[in-house]
Amino acid sequence: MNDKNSLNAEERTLAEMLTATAAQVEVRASFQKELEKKLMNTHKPKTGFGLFSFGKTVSILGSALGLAALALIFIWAIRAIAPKPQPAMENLPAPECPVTTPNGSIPPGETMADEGYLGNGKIWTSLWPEGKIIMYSYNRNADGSLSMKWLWWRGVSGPLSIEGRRLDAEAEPLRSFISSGYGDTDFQVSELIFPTTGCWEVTGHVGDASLTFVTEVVFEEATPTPAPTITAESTLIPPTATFEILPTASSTLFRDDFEGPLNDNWQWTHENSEQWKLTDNGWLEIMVSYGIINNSNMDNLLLRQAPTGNFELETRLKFSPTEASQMAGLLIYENNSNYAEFVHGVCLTSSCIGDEFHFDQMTRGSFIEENFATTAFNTDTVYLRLRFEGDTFTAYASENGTEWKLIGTHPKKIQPLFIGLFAGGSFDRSALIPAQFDYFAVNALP
Amino acid sequence: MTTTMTTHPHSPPADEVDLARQARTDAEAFGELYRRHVTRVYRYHMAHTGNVKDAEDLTSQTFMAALEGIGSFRGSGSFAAWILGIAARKKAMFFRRIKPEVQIEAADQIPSPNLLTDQLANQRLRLDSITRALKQISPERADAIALCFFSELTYAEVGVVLNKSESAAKMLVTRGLQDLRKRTSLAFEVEP
Repeated sequence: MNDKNSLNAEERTLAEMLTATAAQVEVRASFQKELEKKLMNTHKPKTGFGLFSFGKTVSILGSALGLAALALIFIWAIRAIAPKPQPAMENLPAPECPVTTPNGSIPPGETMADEGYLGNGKIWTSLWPEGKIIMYSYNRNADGSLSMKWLWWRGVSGPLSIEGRRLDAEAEPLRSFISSGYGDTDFQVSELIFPTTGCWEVTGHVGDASLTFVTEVVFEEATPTPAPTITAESTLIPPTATFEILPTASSTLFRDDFEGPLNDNWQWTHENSEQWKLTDNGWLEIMVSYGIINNSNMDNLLLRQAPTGNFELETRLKFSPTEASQMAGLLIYENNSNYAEFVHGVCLTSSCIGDEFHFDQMTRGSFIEENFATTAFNTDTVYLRLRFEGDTFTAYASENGTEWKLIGTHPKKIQPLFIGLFAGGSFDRSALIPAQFDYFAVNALP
Repeated sequence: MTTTMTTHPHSPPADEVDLARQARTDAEAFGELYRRHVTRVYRYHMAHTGNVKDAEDLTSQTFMAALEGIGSFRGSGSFAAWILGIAARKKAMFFRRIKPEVQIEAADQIPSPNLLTDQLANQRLRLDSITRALKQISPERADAIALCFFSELTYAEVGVVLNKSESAAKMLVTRGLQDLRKRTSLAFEVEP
């Protein structure tokens, strides 16, 4: 602790004045918010929850579209590595589209290079590589239009307005959404809504200033997946011929419906008895806690010994995560540094989808590269399955318990000593929400 | 006025080492660290630059550099000292490379929405005086003053940033205050 014994009265008063003056210096809220977004979206995670590998272009692109409007550098990198567009039924040819090329003018306040910058000293934006905006299914709106987050910088003061028209065919004019809260100058996020694909001229206006560019909009039916073992957008079919939609009783090794006291042989790790309960209608409820498994600070891991041989875990989960990193689901566990988790959760980093299923394997304290994320279903109650077969872990999710969506497959890199349920991961100690499990079943597999 | 030099109980929160470890791979964790420390970084830069634009730019540079280098934070010292070390280097580069002297008269208004206009004016003038005065004493002592009073680091943390012992850091602060009193007009600011 600092002291003031060596100071005379005058110096002490001076020290107090310095402290008081400093205390009145506040960070502009808009600046703080913008910088935080920039940092969040510039962050280049390695792997893991919210940290999915670069190879998961699906996840990255999805999150960039939904969450990372400010992730200029990151988005550019992803655009750059995305596969070239393949011919698609919906793509209207626009061979003559005179796309605008970037001029390298760096927007005010930006310190990092971006090959896509286009500016005229008053307004700046960032263009897609080769002047081509690649849309995917998650860009499509209910009316068939296609939306894309779009970044602008204003060197002059005033609100941004956007107009646009299709050059190569008749079409409704471009629509846009201008996000509020960005002040009168500098950075501004918007959403461009293209009624169709094709060749489009877009103009941004701020006061008397304007910036126009031409871009091509194309649609890709398939989602790019560079190298993951399983594509993230899998079809709703049972993944293998041996998959049992409703395992027979003989194949059930264990089942707890949480209708009464917890079944024998469960054991809590880091139990916080105030944050879990069995509900009157037969659900196990665990409050999503602060902390993560790898840091040994997550409460209420409910574990039991894993069976020998191949097996399948299944649960029905009711959970509506809202805050960053909240997650709940199934766990195959060796220790706090080695486990596989398959959860429904929220991830708000630039490399995530947002509300998603993710399937990660942690080995030696690090997530391996091939982790998976898929957009969660539009329902709060889902079925999760996690299979251990030979030398692989495979995860599936289902809305109805009948049709299963393949999430991904990991090569087994941990010892499946324990199995169970957990809910946690929140970065906000005060944002406690319940995750409810209807049952936990362990089925034998061939 | 109740604030004194004794109000610096800023031992690092126990979870900051964990947070920093998570922040290597998780932007949310980095965001939490950012929210905890952005004010002290910003105030440090305000003390030295005296204007919002440069302080914001340096704050941005500081955290962008921290993001790139988060893996180098080992937890041997506090995160506050680590991030202020980056801030100090950014500040040094700023004054060495870009501007030999900040034009105080051109300083932007310091936004403090809770203050009345006359209070804002007084606050601005006072900060201008401090920034000007800090340029009139040795850079090391000025840095120690800014780190101690604007970034609210302990003497030990100031020492980490300036690569000094705790006692040497304390001496820098003390001597800095004496310099400010004797060699600058800042003392007039606090006369009754």
